[in-house]
Amino acid sequence: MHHLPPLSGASGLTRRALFEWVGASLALAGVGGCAEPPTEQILPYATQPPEVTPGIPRYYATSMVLDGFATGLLVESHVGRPTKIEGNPDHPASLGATGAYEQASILGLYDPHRARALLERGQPRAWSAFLERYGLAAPRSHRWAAAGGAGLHLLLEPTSSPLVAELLGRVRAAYPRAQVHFHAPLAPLSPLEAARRLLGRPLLAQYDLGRADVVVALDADLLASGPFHLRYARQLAERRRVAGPTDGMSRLYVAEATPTPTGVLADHRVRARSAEVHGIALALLAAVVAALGRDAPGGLAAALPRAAGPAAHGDQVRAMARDLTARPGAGLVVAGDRQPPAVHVAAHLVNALLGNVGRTVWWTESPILEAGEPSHGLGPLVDALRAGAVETLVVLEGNPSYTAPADLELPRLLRGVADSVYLGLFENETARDCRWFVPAAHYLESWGDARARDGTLSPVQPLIRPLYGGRTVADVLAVLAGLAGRSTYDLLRETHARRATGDAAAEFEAALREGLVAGSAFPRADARIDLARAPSLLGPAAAPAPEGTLELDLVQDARVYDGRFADNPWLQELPDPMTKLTWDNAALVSPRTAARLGLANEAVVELACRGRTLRAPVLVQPGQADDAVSLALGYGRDGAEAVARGVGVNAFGLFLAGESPFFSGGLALTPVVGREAPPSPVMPPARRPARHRLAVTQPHRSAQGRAIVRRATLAEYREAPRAAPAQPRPVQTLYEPHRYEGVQWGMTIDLTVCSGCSACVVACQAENNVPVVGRDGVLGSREMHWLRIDRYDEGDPDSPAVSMLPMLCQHCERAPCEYVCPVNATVHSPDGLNEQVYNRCIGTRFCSNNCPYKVRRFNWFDYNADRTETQKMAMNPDVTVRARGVMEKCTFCVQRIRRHEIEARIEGRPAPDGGFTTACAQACPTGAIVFGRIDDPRTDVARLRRQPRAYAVLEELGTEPRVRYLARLTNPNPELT
Amino acid sequence: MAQTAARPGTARPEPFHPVLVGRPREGPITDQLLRHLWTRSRAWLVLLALSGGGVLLLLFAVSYTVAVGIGVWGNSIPVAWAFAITNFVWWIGIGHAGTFISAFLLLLQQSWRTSINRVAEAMTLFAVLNAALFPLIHLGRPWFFYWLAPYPATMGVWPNFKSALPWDAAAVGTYFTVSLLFWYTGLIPDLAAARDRVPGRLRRRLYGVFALGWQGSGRDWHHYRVAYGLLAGLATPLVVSVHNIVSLDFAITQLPGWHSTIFPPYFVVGAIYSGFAMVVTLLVPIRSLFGLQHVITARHLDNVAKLLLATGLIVAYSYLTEVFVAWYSGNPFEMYTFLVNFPRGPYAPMYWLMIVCNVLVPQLFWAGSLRTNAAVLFVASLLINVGMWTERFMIIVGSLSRDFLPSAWAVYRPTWVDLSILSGTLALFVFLFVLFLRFVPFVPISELKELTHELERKER
Repeated sequence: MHHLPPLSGASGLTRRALFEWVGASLALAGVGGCAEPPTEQILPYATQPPEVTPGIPRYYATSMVLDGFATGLLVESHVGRPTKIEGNPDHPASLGATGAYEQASILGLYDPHRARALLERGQPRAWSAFLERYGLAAPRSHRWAAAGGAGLHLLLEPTSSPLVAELLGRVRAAYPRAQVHFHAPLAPLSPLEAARRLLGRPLLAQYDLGRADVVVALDADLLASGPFHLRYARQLAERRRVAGPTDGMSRLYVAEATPTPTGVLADHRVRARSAEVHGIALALLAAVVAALGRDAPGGLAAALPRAAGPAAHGDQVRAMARDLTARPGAGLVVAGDRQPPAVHVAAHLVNALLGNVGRTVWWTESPILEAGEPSHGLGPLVDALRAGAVETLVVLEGNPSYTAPADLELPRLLRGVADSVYLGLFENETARDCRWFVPAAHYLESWGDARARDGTLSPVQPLIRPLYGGRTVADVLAVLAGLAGRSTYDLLRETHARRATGDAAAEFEAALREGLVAGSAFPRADARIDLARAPSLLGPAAAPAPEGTLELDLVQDARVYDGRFADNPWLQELPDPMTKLTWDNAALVSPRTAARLGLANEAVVELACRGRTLRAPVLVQPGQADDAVSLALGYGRDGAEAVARGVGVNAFGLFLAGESPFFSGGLALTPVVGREAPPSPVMPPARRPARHRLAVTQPHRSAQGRAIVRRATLAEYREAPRAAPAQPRPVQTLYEPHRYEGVQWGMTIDLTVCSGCSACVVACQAENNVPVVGRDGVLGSREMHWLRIDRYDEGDPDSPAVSMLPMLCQHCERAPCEYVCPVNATVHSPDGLNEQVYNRCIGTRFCSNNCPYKVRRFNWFDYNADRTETQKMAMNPDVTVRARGVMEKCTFCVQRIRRHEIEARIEGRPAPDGGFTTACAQACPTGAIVFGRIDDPRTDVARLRRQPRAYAVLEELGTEPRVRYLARLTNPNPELT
Repeated sequence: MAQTAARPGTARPEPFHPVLVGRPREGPITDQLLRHLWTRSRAWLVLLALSGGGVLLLLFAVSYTVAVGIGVWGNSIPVAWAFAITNFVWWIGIGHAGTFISAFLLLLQQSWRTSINRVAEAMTLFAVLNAALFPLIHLGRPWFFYWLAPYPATMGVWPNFKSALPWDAAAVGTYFTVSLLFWYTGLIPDLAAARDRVPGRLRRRLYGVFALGWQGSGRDWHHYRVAYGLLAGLATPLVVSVHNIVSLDFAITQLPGWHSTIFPPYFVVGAIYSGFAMVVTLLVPIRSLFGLQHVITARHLDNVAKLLLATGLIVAYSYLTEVFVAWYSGNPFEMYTFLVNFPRGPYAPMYWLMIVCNVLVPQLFWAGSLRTNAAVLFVASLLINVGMWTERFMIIVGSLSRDFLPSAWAVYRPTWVDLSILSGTLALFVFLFVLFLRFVPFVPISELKELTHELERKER
């Protein structure tokens, strides 16, 4: 697909160095399936390690860390080669589920564009050269070595790692005047600031959505972003899963500018510009105080403005307040990380007034090192850089040249530092601006540790030796601390031994085995809200912006995060959960704003805000707040990552330092007029609106009145629970019915709890070796995903009711694909699977034409021809890599079914008892997807199929699918309907 | 040239066009109809070169497709079939008129078929040849095309006889074989005539080989008549069956726009309609280029135009029926396809072009003067050809692009390879036809002479 990046500046090599490098790259090119090129003596695999059986995968616990927060994982490994990520069911941040980032990180490990050479000004250097220059023995050449570290600056991503904390402590002990800075553009700073102001300490609020009857999310995408989103999604789903008409549901209110998965599940979604959320929070607080009446603590009631915020949302806010006050102790108000501290203060006050604190919300210490302290943020570093006080800057991971607020002009300042070091996975923007570049190790190659959001300590253990000799943050810190001779593994063991209560070695091994240190979550902090100080912290709500002024909203991207995953083709091709856009970002506008400004999809506009401009294509997004223009961060990269380069526009160009960097008013938007070459030289060039084609996988959002997604309110469901006719219409057929034997497989998908987060899509891609087709392929409607998430909008196009419908092969009992295949390449198995026989398929595509669900995927080209040796290592060896010209589709993860059948047979059990599930169901954070035996009435899936709200999509066609959907229920407030 | 003769019982006089103008003597007519076999022509070379260039383009585009993959076409999911199958059905349809004229009309003893049946049969062969190309190259793995055939494979797997495609392959194969035999059998006496008259040893040898030792004896004629009649009897049901089976490629599915019991008759009529249009497209220029107005007379034009009108009306009726049944069924998917997607969807211009070409244009032929006007007929036939291609495009691409789940809807756009293959296949057709006109007696001389005698006998 892409060629390997050239070794930078290889032209200036000496002959000897050239031969060294040619030899090394040959060795690297020949890895093919092994863990690492042999650098020493090669030994035959004569004695098999007892724990490794070829063909039998093993699982190891580790953790993926994002902006300092760990998510516990189990990684599938085939003969030393990690191939698939699963969630660690025991880990509080995962509960067995995974998100798209975790799923796709396996491909990130094998990314052929990862940096492989340690460089100084583009020239290859040996690690020993780096050691000499920065190890404790040598840095006499640096002035800071003699000056107690004055002039030495370290820039890290926020970290919760005790190992890194320990090493940083040692660096500081050696160089007391060295300065450490932490920066990540999306790291949540305002919640801690709010806690510092309100509680006096930068504590972290912890939430339990499972105990909340009413949840209000103020610009907080609880279910799909943030370190605990998998846990919150599971908790919320448990409170909204309805087994029968007597069950209740919690109620979710969301106020947000651009739709998120949380907004999809909301019972009431308030479309509000981000700047309006402050007013909503204050209005909510005022309404709660008013509702409490005499009970409200004195002072607060008087201090609050009587006017209950913006009149537009007044009804909804008052209804929220009544709902919350009706359930004291069982409500929860959460403010989003993007919002300024005052909004968080208001949310905490509502929770405190209603007695929710201690029940649905409590505080703990933040696991992040130096959380809430001035070391977080780029301000002090930039000041030092401007003052010329930085002699050596060591940047450990992150990509500050790209992600720093644009007004700080960090790239220019970085280039001005004579001695700078960057440790990174890629030769990216920051690598270009630094003198030394050290290739980093992927987390699947690293020893380390980190804490989950609640403080649970989670080890990071490598699944493979570094493919490209990468180093970890701890490795580099160890060099600076003068511990270069010590292995990170030993240092990690020491750090943990200091914490051990008993046998340190046994505890360490238990932690590695389980993926966490049991009982290491932080205790609840004893925090008291100072109500007297509270009113002054609420700030004045911004005056409602005049009609027609636009707001710029910079948002976290569901696919590339802050740009760090931009080189991952799985994530680039993952349709955005909301917009279904791939391989791009776009300026999202509401239908009404688009009509007012005369904009259509794909029109290129110039965004001008705070003195900076940026060109981006427009995408009309139903459900977007009017006059709010949302643009995802993380695109428009121009480092050495060949996949990421040139995809989308760089929204960090509009990202400026300040109290609220993520949104601001005063946006001007002007259509760009392009010059098109005239059809004949005598004609003047035509001036037409410039266009940029957007690869959207689902342009049609209306169900055309078809009963594809069945929805009801909880009240309607209680009256008439059936989603489908009790007696299906008998199907007449000329063909003999299939003969079924033994175990029967089936799936149910609960639309009530599916938020469309799309983790399952990447999980399926990783499990089943699903290829990527690129932007042109998506534009040609040739995406290969076996599982897609359809989005259907109902009602008012400005504020539609959105439903998500995961769509995969339905494994019909009367499959329309089967009888039309001329060569018997798609057939029915005795256990009820619709099977695709790749080597029998000749590619007539008749089956796809007759599939009413259009879930079959065709290999238009040889999509696997250009895989590099490392990319091949990411393949699941249990799944055929499909050839050109054959059809493929969801198999219900037949490889997993057969593996467990074989295991059951070996162990003498009659049939697999559901100790496994499909990749999509395993990843699903809300447990919406359930897979299992439908012939055994006791299984979950069999019970769910019997539910009255189970129905089959397009059941009127008589296909009798094995996949059943549970109708989507919402629990709207009767006051508002 | 039209003579008017009042007929008893009719109120209005109707123009009468003879089947043959004049009563040519045997020697001169044979010479006139064989002369092209040994006359060089610059125009012929130019046409051959032009169409040959198109054939090279076709070869390149097909090789490129086979080498790289179907992805070089514009096909997608949901539009997994597009230009290739449209072309296939279009060519197969065109291939119907030849056999209809020669076999069907022979059995019905229609004397006017004589002068045009050879051209029509050649057209059939070349059209079916073109058509047969498409099911082959549209396969994802064309090198395994023979898995469609029921042969005792070592894998122990037979084709799936529930699918229409193995039947389709068999039907097209049978049709081509019978058409070829029928055409060749009819050619034998004329090849013998060519053998006897053509200058040059080599050519005489060649024609001699293909004439299979024809002597023109009574025995020869007896066997010839039996064989020709039998083949006509065999070919006639095939005219109906081939397009019936082709229509099942669509009708057995449940796709709205395909799933319809009207398809078999509708496809057969459409096929004959398009076939006659192509016959006109070919005959009008041949007639004037070779000065054959006395052999291919206004009577032929008039009759073909009447057939175009008749089949065109049935096609129009089928369109109406489809729309009515879609509405009457109350099936929301069918209703959407016929009442929204086709007339107002992304391919609406194609749909209305189809209505104009296939429904409105043949209405011209209610007027007798237009039926015999070669220029009008020629233009109308071209429009009907376009209309019939558009019809197949609408059925295939129009239906596929918007089916049950709106989430999967997508618009198909052809690539340069699609367009190259379409123009290349037209060029291949012209190329083969140009070769045919040069090397084969394209008006059946023996039958024409027989017709002359019959007419003279009647007149006596």
